[in-house]
Amino acid sequence: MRIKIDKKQLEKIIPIGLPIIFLGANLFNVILVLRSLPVLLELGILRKLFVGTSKFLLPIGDVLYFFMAVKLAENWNKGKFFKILLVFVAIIGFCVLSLSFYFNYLEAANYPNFVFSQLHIYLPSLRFYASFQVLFLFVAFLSFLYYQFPRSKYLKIVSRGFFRGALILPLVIILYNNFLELPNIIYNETALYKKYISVSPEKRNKLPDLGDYYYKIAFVRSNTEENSVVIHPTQSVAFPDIGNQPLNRYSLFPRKLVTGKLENKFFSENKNYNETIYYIVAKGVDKDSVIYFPEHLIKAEEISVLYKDGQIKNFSNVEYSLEFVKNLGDFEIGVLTSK
Amino acid sequence: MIALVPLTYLILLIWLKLSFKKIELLELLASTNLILLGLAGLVPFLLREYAGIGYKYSIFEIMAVALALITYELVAKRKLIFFRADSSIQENTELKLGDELNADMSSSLGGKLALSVRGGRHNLISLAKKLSAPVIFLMIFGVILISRGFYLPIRGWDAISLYDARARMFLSGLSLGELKTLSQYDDFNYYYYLSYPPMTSVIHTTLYSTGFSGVMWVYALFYMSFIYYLYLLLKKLEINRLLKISLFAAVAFNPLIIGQMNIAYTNLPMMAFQTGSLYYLIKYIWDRNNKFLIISAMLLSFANWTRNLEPIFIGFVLATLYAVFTYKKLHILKKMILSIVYTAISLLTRTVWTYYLRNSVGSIGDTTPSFNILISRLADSLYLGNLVGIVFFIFTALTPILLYILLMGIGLVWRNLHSKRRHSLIETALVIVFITMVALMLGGTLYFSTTFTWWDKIGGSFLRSNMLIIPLAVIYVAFVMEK
Repeated sequence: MRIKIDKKQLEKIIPIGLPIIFLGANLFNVILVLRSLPVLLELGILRKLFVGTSKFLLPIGDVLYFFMAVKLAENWNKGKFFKILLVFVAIIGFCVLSLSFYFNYLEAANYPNFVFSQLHIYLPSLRFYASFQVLFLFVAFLSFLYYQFPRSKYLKIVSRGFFRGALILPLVIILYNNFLELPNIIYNETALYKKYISVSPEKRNKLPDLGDYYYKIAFVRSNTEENSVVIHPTQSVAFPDIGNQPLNRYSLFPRKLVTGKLENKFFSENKNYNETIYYIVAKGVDKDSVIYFPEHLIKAEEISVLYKDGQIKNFSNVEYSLEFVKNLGDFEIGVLTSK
Repeated sequence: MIALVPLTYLILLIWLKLSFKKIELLELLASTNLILLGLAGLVPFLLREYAGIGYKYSIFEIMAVALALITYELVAKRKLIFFRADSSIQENTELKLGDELNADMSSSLGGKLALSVRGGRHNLISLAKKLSAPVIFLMIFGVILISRGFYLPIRGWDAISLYDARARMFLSGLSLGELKTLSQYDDFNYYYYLSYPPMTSVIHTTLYSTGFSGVMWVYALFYMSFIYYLYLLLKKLEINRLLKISLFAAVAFNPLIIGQMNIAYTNLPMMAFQTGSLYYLIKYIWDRNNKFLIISAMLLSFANWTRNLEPIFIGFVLATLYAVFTYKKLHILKKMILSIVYTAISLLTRTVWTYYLRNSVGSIGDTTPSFNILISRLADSLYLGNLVGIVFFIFTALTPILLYILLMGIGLVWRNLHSKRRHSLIETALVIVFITMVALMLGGTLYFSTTFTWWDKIGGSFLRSNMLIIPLAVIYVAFVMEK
C-alpha cells in the first residue's frame, strides 16, 4: 500500500516541522554536551529523563536535520522562512565548530579532562555534535550549489550519483577530525619547542614522557658503580617504572640488574660474588596500602636517599629494616650499598 | 664520520636515478630514504651476528653496499664510456660527477645535476624546470620535519626500554643473542629484547656509531617517504584536484600518523616500507617493469625486518601473484620466476629472523605459534561469548579509523554493486591486501583471546598495527573515483 502525501498538506507542515527539527536536534545535542552542568544535576530524575530521551532521539534528529538542510537549500528562493532557517543552520554550525575547536585547544593546553572538570562540558559529545555540523554545512552548501548554481564546477566532485556522495561525506568528517586535532598538534609542537630546542643537548636527551622517573634513575646511576649488581623492586602496580628491568637497564647498563623476586636465586647461583651489591630503596602504592622495597633486614654500608625537594640524606653503617625506611618520610628514591 | 651518512645517501640517490631513468624527484627522495634506512637496519646486524664485524663499521658497510650497487649500475651494465673502445663516443659522454654534481648540489637549488652515461645525458635533477608548487611545499615540509627531529630526544616507553636500549647495548659490543643473558634475573621480561626484529635498533646503532647524538629525525624521514609516495600516487590519478588534496590531507594529517613521528616506535617505519612496496607494486602493474617489482619486494622485506607480529606481507605477496599471473603477455615460466623471486626477496628477512630466534633461544613463546597450535587455539576461540567480546574489542580499538574503514566499505559496495566498470588490476590488488589485513586482524584477535589474558588491554597497540588501513582505504577510494 502506498501512502500519498498531498503537496498542499506538506507545505502546511513544513513551516512548523522544520523549526521543530532544527530546535529539537540542536536541543538533544546541547543536553548531551551539558549533561553534567550543576543546574542539570540538581534536576535528579528529570535529568536522567532528558539525557535518556536525547540519546534515544538524537540519531533520528540528526538524520532529519540532514534532509532539512537539503530542503532549505532547495527552497531558498521560495520565501524568507527558508532563507532565515538556512542562515540559522549555518550560524549554529559555525558557532559549534568554533566552540569545539576552542575547547579542544583548552583541553590540549591544560590536561586531559580539563574541560569536563572545570567547565562541565562533555567534550566527546561536543566533538560528535561538531562532526555532524560539518556534515550539515557541507550538505547544505552542496545542495545550495546544486539547486541555485547547477553549473558550478565544484559540483563535479559529487555529481556522479549516490555512492560518490556517500564517499565524500565520511571524507569531509575525516578532514574535520584532522582539523580538530590541530590545536593539540600546535600545542604539542609549542611544548616540544620550548622543552628541547632552546636547551642544551644533555638536557634534551632526558626522558621526557616518564615524569619523575628520570630523576629517580639518574640518582641511582650516580650512586652506583658500573661494575656492580643492582637489585630493584619487582615489577608491579606499586612499582610500574622502577620495577621495570628493561627500562632501568636503559640508564643503568652495564650494571647487572636483579629483580627483587629473584634475589635469592641470584645469591644461590653467585655465592662468591665479589662486586658491590646495591639495592634500590623505593616506596610505592597499591590500592590504599604503601609498599616498601626492600622488605627484609640488610646490613648497609651506606644508604643515600633523595627527597622530593632535591635534598639528599646519607646514612652510614646502619641496619636497614622496614621500620628504618618508614621513618625516612616522603622520599623519592634511595640507594643502599650492602656490606 | 657524520658526513659519511649524507655521502652514502647521495650515492644511493645517484644509483636510483641511474637505475630508473624516468624518476620524479619526490620518488627519488622517498625511495632513497627507505633504502638507506633499510640497509642501515639490516646489513650491520647481519655482519655483526654472522661475521663478527662490530657496529662501529656500520656506515662503511652500508657505503660499501651503496658503492657496489652504483658500480654494478655503471660498470656491469657497461654504461660508463671509458670501458668502451670507441673514443668518439667517449668525447660526448664523460662522467661529470665531480664537477657539476658537487658544485650544483652545494650551491643553488636552481641548478642542474648532470651525469653523462651511455646513450646520452641524464638529468639527475632538473630542479628549475620540473618543480611544482606542491613539490616545493612537500620538500620544505620535509626539511622542517627533519630539522625538528634533530632536537627531539627518544620518546615512548618501548622506544626507550627496547628499541633504543638495544642500540646502546649493541654499541657496547654485545650481540642480540647476548642480550638475553642480561634478563637472567628478570621474571617478567625474559625474552623482551628478542620480541621484535632489530630494524630500528640497528638504524639507531648505525647513526650513534657515526656520531649522531639524536635519531628522531629518522622518523621524519619515514614520514616524508610515506607522504611522498601518497602524493605521487594521487597525482597520477584522473580525479578532481580538490578531491586529490582532500584525500591527501585525510591521510597525511591524520593525528595518529603524525603522532608516530614523535615516538621511536616501529609502526611508522613499517607503514612507510609497506606503502613504498605498494607504490612500486602499483607502478609495476602500470608499467610492467620488473625492476619495480624487485624494489617492491625489497621494501616489503625491510618491513618484515621491522615488525614480524603482523604477517601483512601475505596480502602483498598474494596481490603480486595475482598481478603477475593475470598478465597475459608474460610467458608462464617468467610468471613463475617473477613470483618466486618476489616471494623469496620479501620473505628473506623474515626467514633470517625466524632462524636467528630458533638458534638463539629456540622459541620466544606464544607470539610465534606452530601451525597446529594456531589452528587448535582458533577452534577453541569460536564460541559466542568470545566472538561478541572480540567484535566489541575490534570496534572499540579501531574507532579512530572507523571512518577510513567506512570509506573502504562504501568504495567496495559501489564498485561491486553499482559501477558498470570492471575492477581494475590495481583495485583488485588493493582489495586483496585489505581483505588479508581484515582476516589477519580477526584471526589474530581470535588467537590472542584464547592465548593471553591481557588480549583486550592492547587496544592502542592493535590500532597502531592496523594503521596501514588509513592509506590503503584512501588510495583505493581514489582509484574507485577515477574517471
